[in-house]
Amino acid sequence: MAMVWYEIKKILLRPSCQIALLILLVLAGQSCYRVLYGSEGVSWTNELGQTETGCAAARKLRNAQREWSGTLDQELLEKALAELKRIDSAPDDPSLDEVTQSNIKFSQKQKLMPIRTLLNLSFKGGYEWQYGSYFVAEKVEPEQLPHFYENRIQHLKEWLYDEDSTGYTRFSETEKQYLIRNYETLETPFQVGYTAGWEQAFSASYYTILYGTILIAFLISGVFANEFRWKADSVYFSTELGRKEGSAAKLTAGFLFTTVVYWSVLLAVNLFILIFLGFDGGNCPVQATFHYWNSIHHITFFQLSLLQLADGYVLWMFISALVMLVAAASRSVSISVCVPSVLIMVPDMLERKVDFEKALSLLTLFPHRMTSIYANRTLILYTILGNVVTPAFIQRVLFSSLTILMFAVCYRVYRRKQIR
Amino acid sequence: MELKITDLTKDFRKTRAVNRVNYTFHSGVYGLLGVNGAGKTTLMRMLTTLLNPTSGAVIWDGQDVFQMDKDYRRLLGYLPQDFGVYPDFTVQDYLMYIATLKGIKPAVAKTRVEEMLHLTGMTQFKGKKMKALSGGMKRRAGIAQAVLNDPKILILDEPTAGLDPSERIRFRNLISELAADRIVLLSTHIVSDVESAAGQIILMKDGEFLVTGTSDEIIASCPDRVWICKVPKEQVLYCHQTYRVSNVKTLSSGAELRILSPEAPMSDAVQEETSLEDVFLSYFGEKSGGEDGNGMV
Repeated sequence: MAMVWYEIKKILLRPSCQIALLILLVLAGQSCYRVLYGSEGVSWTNELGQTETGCAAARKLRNAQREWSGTLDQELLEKALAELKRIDSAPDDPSLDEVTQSNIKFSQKQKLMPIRTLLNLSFKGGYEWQYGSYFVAEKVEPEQLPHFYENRIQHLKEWLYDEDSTGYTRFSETEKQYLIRNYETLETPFQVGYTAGWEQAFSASYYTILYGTILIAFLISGVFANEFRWKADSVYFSTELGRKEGSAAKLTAGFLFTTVVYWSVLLAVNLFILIFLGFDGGNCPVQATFHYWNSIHHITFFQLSLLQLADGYVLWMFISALVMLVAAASRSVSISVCVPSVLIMVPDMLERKVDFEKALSLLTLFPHRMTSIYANRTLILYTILGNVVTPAFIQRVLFSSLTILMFAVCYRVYRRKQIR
Repeated sequence: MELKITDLTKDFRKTRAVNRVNYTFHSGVYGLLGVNGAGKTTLMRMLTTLLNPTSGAVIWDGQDVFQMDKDYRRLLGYLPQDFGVYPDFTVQDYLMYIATLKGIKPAVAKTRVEEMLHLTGMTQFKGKKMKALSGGMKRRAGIAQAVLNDPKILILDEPTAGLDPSERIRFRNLISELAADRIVLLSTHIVSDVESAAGQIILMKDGEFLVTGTSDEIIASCPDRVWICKVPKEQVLYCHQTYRVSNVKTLSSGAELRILSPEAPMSDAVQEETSLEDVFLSYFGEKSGGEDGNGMV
């Protein structure tokens, strides 16, 4: 263990690594700040129609929505619809301008927003979100409500078998049947309620994990290259334990360092956000929110967070293993940092530039998608040997296997570099 | 205690760096003397198992050192020519780390590190970062790490390169202190370093051992004698072109030349005692100046 500790000490003592760690902390802090006070963060519109942000706003929103949380059955749907219609039909104050009037109404509807959003999604008239769908909820009639859950399945079927829709050509018949079965087996009625804490934790974690990969690559890059860079390799390899045990110590140090940094930062980010925005809604299925209504993953928000953290960890380990392998083979810090940076950044940029539909099925499998796969609103499926699988499954198996393989190869490559 | 090399050869593509070298080392200090490119470092890297020989073997007490693997490296202390350090470690951290790599138990390591710091005069600098050390102090730390495990075989490749005269004297004294009951192989192109410290001297040229023996034996083997000749200024150039001149001293009437030649170069030449430096020049000729001009020191 002493050798492992010295390897970690080599990383921690480098001024450039200390700066990288500081940047990682700033990045995590900035992610937290953004979800608390940023434009995409949690906000509360008060009775005067003014928008508030921050912890107090989140607390008000949580308290308001807590009254309307629970099992989204017919009774709750009817109650929520009646309340929405009541608010909508209430007379406006003619002394106020149109925007303020709209904001005041919005402030009254905030408590119903999770249910209102789902009403919009269910009764919008199609699988894909369209302009104008936002105002559907208040127009729903009570007698339509029994079709609330059924609509979700019906919209999917129409999307898959309508020749003009994007779903028609994207999937094989087996995949279409898989999707319909998936939708039909989703347990209903949902639990519904305030989920902003979990949603924002997911968002903040996504950015921290993704950009953190570049920083962890930088931090780890020296583990296998420093001896060559500092010309300390001759002494190192001529010592009793500098070869076999030394290689093992380096791999262990890389593994431990990545693990400790990852879990420290990500748990801190998640706990910070959940403590300030609230743990409510952890038992709600992800389909009970706007972003995940079409999701094929039957998981709750708590499970989503766990899976994201686990997948993020696999991603960091994959990047660390790759960096160590490249460093061991090339003996170069700069090359080892460049390789994973390119692997993460280039597909991310390509995704924005190239034809989305054609490139998506391939680009979805790249590591940059690893932690956002559940948030991906475009359905992607793969059929392997007659079995339909999701990108999440492939990525998890692929990158876990590659990581283990690269650790083993790295050890062998470094051992071969020791004697010429 | 016997380290034997048999037919040891190393090729780098089309270049043969070490050519079928045979030798047996026993306890004592061995000075490996040769110009740059003679194959000294390649030989030493094979002895430290950092390079695989193309052919031949290195045998320690009857066992192939490459088969012995870490059992052999446990006996080894090595200070490479191109000695790099961990810049952000303190001297003490660095030595503790190397002690760990050498398999020394932590409790023993602490004492050994203190001893080595004292031996190399580095105690007061033990808290200083390696990157803040001067070249001479880095070398001292290098010596300290090499002897941490009390090695049976101590290999020092150009250990005095870049050191000032007082540091070199200090280093030579240190070698003498360390020489007991171990094989010390000291490679250099600085003649005075081996002359004072080495019991056995090996002259290496073009990958081969040219001459081996004690200082006196090496001197006796030299085909040239040393002559002191006083010549007018206009003859200095002629003498340089005709003979091997190891030294020129300018006089008011001309110059006093130190010439290497089997016979007296001129009738009034006075024979002088041959030194190891003269032998070095005799064997290595023009190359003996070395790239950094240290060959004749």
